[in-house]
Amino acid sequence: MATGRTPSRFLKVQIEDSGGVLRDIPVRTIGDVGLTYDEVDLSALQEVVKGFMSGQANFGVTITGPLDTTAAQAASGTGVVAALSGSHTVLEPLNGGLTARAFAIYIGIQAYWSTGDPVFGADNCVIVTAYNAQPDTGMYSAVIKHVAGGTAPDWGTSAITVA
Amino acid sequence: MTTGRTTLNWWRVYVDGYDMSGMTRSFGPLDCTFEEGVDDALTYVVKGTYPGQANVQMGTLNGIFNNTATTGLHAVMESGVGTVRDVLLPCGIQAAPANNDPCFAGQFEQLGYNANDSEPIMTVSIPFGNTSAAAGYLNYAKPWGVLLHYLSAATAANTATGLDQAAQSTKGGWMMYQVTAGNGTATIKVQDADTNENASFGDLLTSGLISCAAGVSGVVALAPTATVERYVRWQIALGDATTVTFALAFMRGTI
Repeated sequence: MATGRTPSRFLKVQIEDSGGVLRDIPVRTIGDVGLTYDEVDLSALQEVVKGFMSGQANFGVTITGPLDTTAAQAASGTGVVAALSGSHTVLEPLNGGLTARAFAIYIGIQAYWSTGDPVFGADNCVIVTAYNAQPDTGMYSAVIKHVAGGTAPDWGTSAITVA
Repeated sequence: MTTGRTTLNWWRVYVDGYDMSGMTRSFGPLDCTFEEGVDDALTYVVKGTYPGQANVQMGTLNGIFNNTATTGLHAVMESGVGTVRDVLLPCGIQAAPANNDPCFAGQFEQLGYNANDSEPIMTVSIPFGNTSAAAGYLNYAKPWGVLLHYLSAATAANTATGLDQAAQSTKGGWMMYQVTAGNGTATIKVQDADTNENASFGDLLTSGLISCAAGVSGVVALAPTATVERYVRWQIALGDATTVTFALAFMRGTI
């Protein structure tokens, strides 16, 4: 592993498919990755500066990418390029389901992700709540949310696997 | 069939038994979004989500104005505002749609019909609403399935093996058929089997005996807990028809 800055082309996205197997999926945009906490105003009138505390965290991402029907491939491991499965193949069957799925966003540092590089996600973590196709651009968009009762996603440096 | 990515020109548009592909410029977005219930119990560090009901829509169909008698976009759609349309949108992958290609299907109310002269060629835009309350498959949230029979003529029963859909399921399914030509009566079916050989297939969904001609379409749904075997295929039982040109899609229930 390297440390420092990195171009986004070394990013990989994996999600557990409806059969319980991790897959790399093609993405073009991901947006903000991480947890955002509610901010609770606990100020008293008598205080000159308002005081806040963080409450519960929120997690959700909307990803976009090319609509692709490629058959499912074995997910890539450490230090290698993503082995892309079809986005339609993986994401459409997950849409609307209640089963918690593993999810991971790997950020390779100046190289394909390897153990020790940053990763965000968890096993038994997410569901898909929207899957949309845009025929005139050949793209899809999907909304991935943290599932109620699921494992909280977090930053780490080890590969996320399906237990 | 091919797999991979594709472009708009390989999609097709079938509405109420008419092939509108040659008069369509664009459509979409093809949307299946579930309402989100937030579970923010005190003990959760990260708020959770439950999926609620789905909203499904096909967006607006943009096309070329065409008043060809009977089959033209204008002839079929101009007086149809408020009509619930059977819409089947097969997605060919780098080629015209083939069996087992994905498709988006639904029954949507036509909300308008607007001719436009903003370009040197007359165009039309036809907005559609979300899934109609009159749809025949309201126990199924998801509009995506596969094409069992790409739009083509059938003149005899199908004795071929079927498509492998990985496993038996117990969440039902539904079919949509679009007949664009025919010369008599026939029954269009989806069949399933647990082993992929001709003799094993039995009827799963059937249109019933219908008069086959341009402008015939329909939806038939299973109970949402029905068993569907691993292999599925199209079938036709000809009545007094000798040829029927149709497309058939099957949407297996998954949630």
